[in-house]
Amino acid sequence: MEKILEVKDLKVAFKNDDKENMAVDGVSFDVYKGDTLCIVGESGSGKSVTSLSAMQLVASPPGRYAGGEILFEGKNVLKLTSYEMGHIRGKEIAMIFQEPMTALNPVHKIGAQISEALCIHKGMSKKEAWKRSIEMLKMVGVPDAQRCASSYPHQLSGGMRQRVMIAMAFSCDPKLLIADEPTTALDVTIQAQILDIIRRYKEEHGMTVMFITHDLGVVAEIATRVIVMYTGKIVEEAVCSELFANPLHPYTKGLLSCIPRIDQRQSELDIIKGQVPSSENMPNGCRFNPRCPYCMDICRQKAPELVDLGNRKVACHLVNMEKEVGK
Amino acid sequence: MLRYIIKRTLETILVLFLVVTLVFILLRGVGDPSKLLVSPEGSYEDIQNIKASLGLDKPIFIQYTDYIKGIVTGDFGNSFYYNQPVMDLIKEQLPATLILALVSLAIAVPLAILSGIIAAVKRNTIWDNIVTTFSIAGRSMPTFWLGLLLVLIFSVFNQILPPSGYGSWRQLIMPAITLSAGLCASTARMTRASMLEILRQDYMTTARAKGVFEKKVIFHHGLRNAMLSVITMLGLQIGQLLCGSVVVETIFAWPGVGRLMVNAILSYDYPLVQASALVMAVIFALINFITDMLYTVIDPRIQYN
Repeated sequence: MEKILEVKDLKVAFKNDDKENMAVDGVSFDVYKGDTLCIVGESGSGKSVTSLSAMQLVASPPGRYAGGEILFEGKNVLKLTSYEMGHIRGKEIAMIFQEPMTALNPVHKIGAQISEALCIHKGMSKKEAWKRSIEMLKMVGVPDAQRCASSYPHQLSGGMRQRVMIAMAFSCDPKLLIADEPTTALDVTIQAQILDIIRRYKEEHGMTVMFITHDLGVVAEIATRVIVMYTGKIVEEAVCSELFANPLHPYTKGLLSCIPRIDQRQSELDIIKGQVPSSENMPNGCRFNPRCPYCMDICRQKAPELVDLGNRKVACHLVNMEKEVGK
Repeated sequence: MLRYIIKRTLETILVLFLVVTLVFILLRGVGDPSKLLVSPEGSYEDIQNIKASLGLDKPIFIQYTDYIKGIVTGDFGNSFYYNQPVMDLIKEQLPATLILALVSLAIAVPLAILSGIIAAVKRNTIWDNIVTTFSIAGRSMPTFWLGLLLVLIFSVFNQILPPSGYGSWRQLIMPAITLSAGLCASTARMTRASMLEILRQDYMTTARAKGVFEKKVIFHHGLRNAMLSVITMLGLQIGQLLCGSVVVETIFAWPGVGRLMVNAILSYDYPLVQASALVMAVIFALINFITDMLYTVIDPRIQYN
């Protein structure tokens, strides 16, 4: 399969009171054409920063690309000038954000905000772009699209605003869509509709999707492949069905067991004990070791490498040992 | 909207009424003009005659009601000192004040907004420091001191600009700079602070993610949002600009309403002080009203019903 995006040893640092913390610490993965790749992780796992990096959108300062490269169709986007980047953003790669309430500019009309990308990338006149914006709004299921185009963001509900964001992202037929928790702030029913719009468009236009979420229900719904991140590193990468059927990394197992099940009576919900370590007291060795129920001596001494197991990758000493024994 | 405008107009009339009343009462406590108007050899009778001719011999309440009646019919009285209708005097001097205020605004506002944006975008760089230094300096220098300093540098030490007067554009330069310094400094600070806040907003990232170039992101998406707090402050500052013009006009012998007012206060010219205070108050109220209307233009979320 053809790769559309290759992330190689990406490192992104954030400066905080003269100290630099690695928000993303040596992350590598590929996104294949037509795939839906989900990146899963808790807050602070670096999943959003990774996705923002693909569009060179990490605010600098305080952020800084400390190493690695991101190749979009062979071009390293981290090395592109802001002018060159302007031709990729919105046209080749589009993005949907988590908070539809704040992601739209409150002082411009919806139609004008969608039109903007069309005018820039498709060379449309304002009038043509406005017409196209209304078509886009219809496509994402906005009732009374004409009126919506002439209204301001504060006049719309959260679900409507997210549809507007999607219409905006789809307006220039992007090859890659990066959706950064697009359903997190929405009601469950609206969530399903939003996922459906994204899935339908992807099938119709052969778009590739990189989906950032912490909602495993959403992952099960749409992902073809899944990457699990923890404190700026990838701990597991697998095909969606395999990950759910047979999670290898203890963190992934923990995440999955946290989901309450309707077919089992539980008096108490499972949790992953402890908290995500802060950047100041990052543990030695495996970063998950203080919370890991299977922690061994080696886990406290040496950070595990992300090992390729053929169709999946995992970064865990325990899994490696089991593999050795199995041989 | 119409209801709002009517409500605002009624409120403004009330405010103006209070201003007039307060000025009327305060002035009566300051001193007696008849003693200034009589010649040094004048007798007690002369003073009484002058009082009678100015209507100052009547009880204060009658003076007040006469005065209010006059205002309602458009008669603001005659100046004690110039012996002309006060409104004619003010009309004569108002253009000079307005020219000075407008030129100061035209210098201060674009300069302040531009430097505020630069300081915010280039935060913690040399540009930011330059803007911050200048705005602190501009804010902390008293108007009268800056005015005198400019006269000293550009008129006394180097004969580049005329030290005072009215007529040519060269005479306008120093008063305008003096008057705009404070306004420019605080507007630049405000724009910087407001812009820093806006630069962090999600919609700025959305605009960048669309492929909009940075300059357009800042001016098209950022500036209009940042303008809201800047406009609020400008509205207040323009009022102060008019007050400041009282000082500046006196320093530079600029024949405006401010200087007219100062002279009127010094000579206990009641009708003239009252009328110029009223004119200032009307301008102030008008600017506040325009500011409030501008909000609705800038931010569609603000509506008056």
